Amino acid sequence: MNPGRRLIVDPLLDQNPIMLQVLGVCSALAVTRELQPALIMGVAVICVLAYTNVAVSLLRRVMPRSIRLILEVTLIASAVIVVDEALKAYAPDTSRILTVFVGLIVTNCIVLGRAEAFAMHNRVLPSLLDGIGNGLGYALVLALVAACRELVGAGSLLGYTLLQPVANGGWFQPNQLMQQPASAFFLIAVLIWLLRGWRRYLAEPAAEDAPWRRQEEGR
Amino acid sequence: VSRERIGRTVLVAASVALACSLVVSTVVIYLRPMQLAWVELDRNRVILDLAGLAPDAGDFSDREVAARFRELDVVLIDLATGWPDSNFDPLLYDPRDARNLAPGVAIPQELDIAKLGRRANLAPVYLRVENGSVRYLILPLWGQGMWAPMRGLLALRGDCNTVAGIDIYEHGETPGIGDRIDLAKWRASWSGRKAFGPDGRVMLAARGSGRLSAGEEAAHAFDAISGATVTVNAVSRMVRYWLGEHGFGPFLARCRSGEVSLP
Repeated sequence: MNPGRRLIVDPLLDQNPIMLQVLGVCSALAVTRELQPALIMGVAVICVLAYTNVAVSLLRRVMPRSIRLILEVTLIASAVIVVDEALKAYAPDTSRILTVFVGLIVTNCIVLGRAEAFAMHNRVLPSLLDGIGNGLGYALVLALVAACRELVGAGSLLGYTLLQPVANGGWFQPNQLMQQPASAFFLIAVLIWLLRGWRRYLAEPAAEDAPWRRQEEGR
Repeated sequence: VSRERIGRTVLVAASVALACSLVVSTVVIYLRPMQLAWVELDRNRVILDLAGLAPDAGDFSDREVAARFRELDVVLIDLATGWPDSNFDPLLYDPRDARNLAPGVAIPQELDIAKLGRRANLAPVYLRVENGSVRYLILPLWGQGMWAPMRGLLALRGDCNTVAGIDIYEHGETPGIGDRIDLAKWRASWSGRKAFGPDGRVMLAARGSGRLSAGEEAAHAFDAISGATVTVNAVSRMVRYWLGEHGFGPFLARCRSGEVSLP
C-alpha cells in the first residue's frame, strides 16, 4: 500500500486510537448515547486533528523545544473554540446535547498525542493525512458504539424508530443499561476483544512473568 | 542551539498566541449574530408558550415560532414613569445591552435585590391581545441566581395582577436540586396567584406546600422547593424586583387602574 493511503487506513483498525491505544475514551463514553451527536462529535474531532496536525507540522522547525507543549495546546485550544462556536451557530440542538464535551476535545489525548508523536516529525501533507486518519478511527468507534447503544437502548437510529418500543405499543423492550454511560465501556471492551481476536498480531505477547502464566506452568 | 535563545522563545510564543487569538476572535465575532438569533428564537418559543399559543401536541417548528411571534404586540415601557415609550423599536431594543445600560440608572443598593447593579431606562413587555383587550402580558426578568445569572419570563393576565405562568429559561442552578424550577409542577404553583396586595405592594412569596392552598397568604404563595431554598429565594427576589417600584411597578399600577391603555 502506498504510504499516503497507509496513513489514512492504518488508524481505522490496526492503529485505532481508541481500540489499540485506548486514548480518548472519556468522550467515547459520554456522547455515544445517540448516533447523530456521536457523528457530529466525530467530525469535530477530525477537523481539530487535521488542523492542529497541519499547524504543528508547519511550525515544527520554529517551535522552541522548551515551550513546544504549551504552543501545541494553544493551537489545539483555539481550534476547539472555533469548532465549538461553529456548532453553536449552525447546529444549536446538537451543541446542547454535546455540552462541555466539545470543549473537552482540548484534553483529548488523541489530539496532543498525534501532534507530539507525528506532526512534530513529519511534513505537512503526511501530517494532514495522519490527522484525518486518526480522526476517522475515533469517529468509527464512536459511530459503532453509538449505533449499538441507540438501537438497543431506544430502538431507533438517527432518531428514526426501527424497533417499536413496548411503551409505544410495540414489541421491543429497550435495554435501560444502554442508556447509561457504563454500557459504552462494555461495548468498547467487546470491540477491542473482537478486533484482537480477528487480527491476532495486534495482541501484545503476555509478559514472561504474568501471574496466570506462572499458574499454568505450575511454577 | 539558536532555537532555544530566550528572546526567540518569547517572540515565537507571542506570535503564536497573537495569531491564535486573532483567529478565535474573528470567528466568534462572525458567528455571534447567528448564535444570538438562536437564543432569541428559543426565548420567543417560551414567550409563545406563556401566551397560551403553544400547540396542543408536539413542538413548534422554528419557522412557526418566528411566524406566530409576529402575532404578539411588543411595547417598550419607560420603567421610571410607567408610560409606554415610542422612541425606540421594541424588537431591536435590548435592555441588557451595554449601550442601553450606560444611559440607564444605577440601582440603589437597598433596592438591588436581584443583584443587577444597573438597569436600562426601558424594558419590553410582550402582549397577547384578543378582541381589542389584553389577555396576557409577559414581562422579562433577569437577575443573579445561586451560581450564575438567570433569565426568565413572567406572564400576567389582563388584570395586570394575576400570575398566568413563569418560566426561568436560562439559569445555572444545581442539577437535581435548584434546577427543579424547570419542573412543570413548580411552575404551575404560580398560576392564579395575585402578584399585588390591595395596597399595591408586591405580595408574591415562597411558601411551604402546606400553606399553598389555605389561609390568607395562599393567594400570593408559590411553592418553596425544600432543599433549593437559595434558588427559590433568588427567583423570588428577581420577581419582586421586577414587579416592584424600581421595575415594572409603576407601569403595572397604571395598568391595574386602567390609566394606561395598551394596543
